[in-house]
Amino acid sequence: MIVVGALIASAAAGSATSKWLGLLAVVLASVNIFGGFAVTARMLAMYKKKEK
Amino acid sequence: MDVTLLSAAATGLAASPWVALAYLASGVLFILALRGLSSPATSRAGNRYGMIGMLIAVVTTLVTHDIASLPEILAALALGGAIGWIIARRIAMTDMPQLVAAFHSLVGLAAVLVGWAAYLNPEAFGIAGPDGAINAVSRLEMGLGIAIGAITFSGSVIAFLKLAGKMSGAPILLPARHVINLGTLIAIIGLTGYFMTDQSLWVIATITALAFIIGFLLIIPIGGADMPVVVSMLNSYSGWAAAAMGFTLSNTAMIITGALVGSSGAILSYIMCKAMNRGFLSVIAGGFGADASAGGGEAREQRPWKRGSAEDAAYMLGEAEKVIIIPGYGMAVSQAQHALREMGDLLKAKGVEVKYAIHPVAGRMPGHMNVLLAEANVPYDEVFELEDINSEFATADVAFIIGANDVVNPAAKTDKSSPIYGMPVFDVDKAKQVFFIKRSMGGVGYAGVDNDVFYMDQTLMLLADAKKMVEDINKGLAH
Repeated sequence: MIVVGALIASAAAGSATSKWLGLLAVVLASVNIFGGFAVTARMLAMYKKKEK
Repeated sequence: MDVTLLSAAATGLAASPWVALAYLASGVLFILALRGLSSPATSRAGNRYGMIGMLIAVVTTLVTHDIASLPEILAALALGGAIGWIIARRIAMTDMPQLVAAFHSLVGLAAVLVGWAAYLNPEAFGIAGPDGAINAVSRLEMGLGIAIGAITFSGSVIAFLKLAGKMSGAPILLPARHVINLGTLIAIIGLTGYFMTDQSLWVIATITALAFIIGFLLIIPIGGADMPVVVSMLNSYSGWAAAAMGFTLSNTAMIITGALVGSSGAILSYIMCKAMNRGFLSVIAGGFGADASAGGGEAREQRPWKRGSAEDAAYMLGEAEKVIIIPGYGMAVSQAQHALREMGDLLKAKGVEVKYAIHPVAGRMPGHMNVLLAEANVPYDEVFELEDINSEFATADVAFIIGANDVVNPAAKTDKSSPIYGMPVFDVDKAKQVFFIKRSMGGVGYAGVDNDVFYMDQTLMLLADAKKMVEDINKGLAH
């Protein structure tokens, strides 16, 4: 969820340093989000196989 | 709960009801996601709810803020997303605990970065007064968010290193660590308070540095088997860090989901501590196992035990009517889950009833054993929790212990001086026959306690690597 904060931080105009900090945060947070959902989906796919 | 969510949503962005509604929708989706993920039957729908909720939150944020740098943001999202996706595709299931820890560390670091971004550019977030000073309350939220984020980061890095085996899993005890930890914690809280009156750079920098340090110090003395609690605790912290940042940025979505993640992680930690009959504080204070030698050490006189062979095990398993398998961390280490599932199949083909019994703290993360068994295609309706199966040992012909130890130790029920006294354990002593796969008689489990199960009349010790032993048993069963 921190990605929202990261987006807000990187979106704000005014300070270049803040923007880059925010952008780096966006990268880190999106690794977590995409990775997290993908890995969960992978784990759950293993359950699915057996339901057949 | 609903009332809290609604009021949180209402206060945050009263100016724009649609934004509040969108964030509320994503909050509700996250609740549905957490609820869905709690059961295997609904978990895939749960994961999908979570994805939709996240998508709504991200799109809403992008649409409703004046974006000064959209291309860069999309590039950052794509870059992070690609990295995350690739890691998630490639990671081996057995590396899951350290992956989870690594992901938590990213969230923690992101929270620190967002906090710093807000500190350096307060006007853009509407948290500064006309004189450019940051509002006192915002400073408090910022300080807390950065501190919790930094603890999450450094703590997760240590947890990752321990789980990945890049650092000894044994507790590392500094002398006077309680004093050092407490002092650091008090310094962080004091400085956060002081930060409300003085927004100088050194204050927030010192808070950040001290929080990084205490994250390391907190996790270093915690031993490998307490890692499930640590992982879920760090998950909880990452939620609270996001929630604190949500207050700083007046963002309801962050507050709602941060608090959701924070409290669900805290509840899970509590449940696991209860499963070990240990106080949450005693797990957090760490050092478990290192000082346990006093309890079980001197009692390790030589007692007679019986060694079994794969042929013995194959014969008796094949003759049994009901077999209960108890997997532990040792199964994960030797990657025996596939061989174990084959064994289950062979036994079922002979008409044997096979069940798996999973202790709440088996393995190195919550659900560790469940994930490995699922990877090996063990049907989840054969997998049972402690309280659901414990009464069945009395009717079981064979209890098959593979890589577990402390969770079957009857000392937890009988020996008040034992460091694991009071922990609920499997009643394997009630089974007619016990097979205990262990690499050697030397090791005595994580808690460092001797286990009476080794010496019971009906116990045969199978001393070998778990995977190798199960494969040998399978050869015997296939005949």
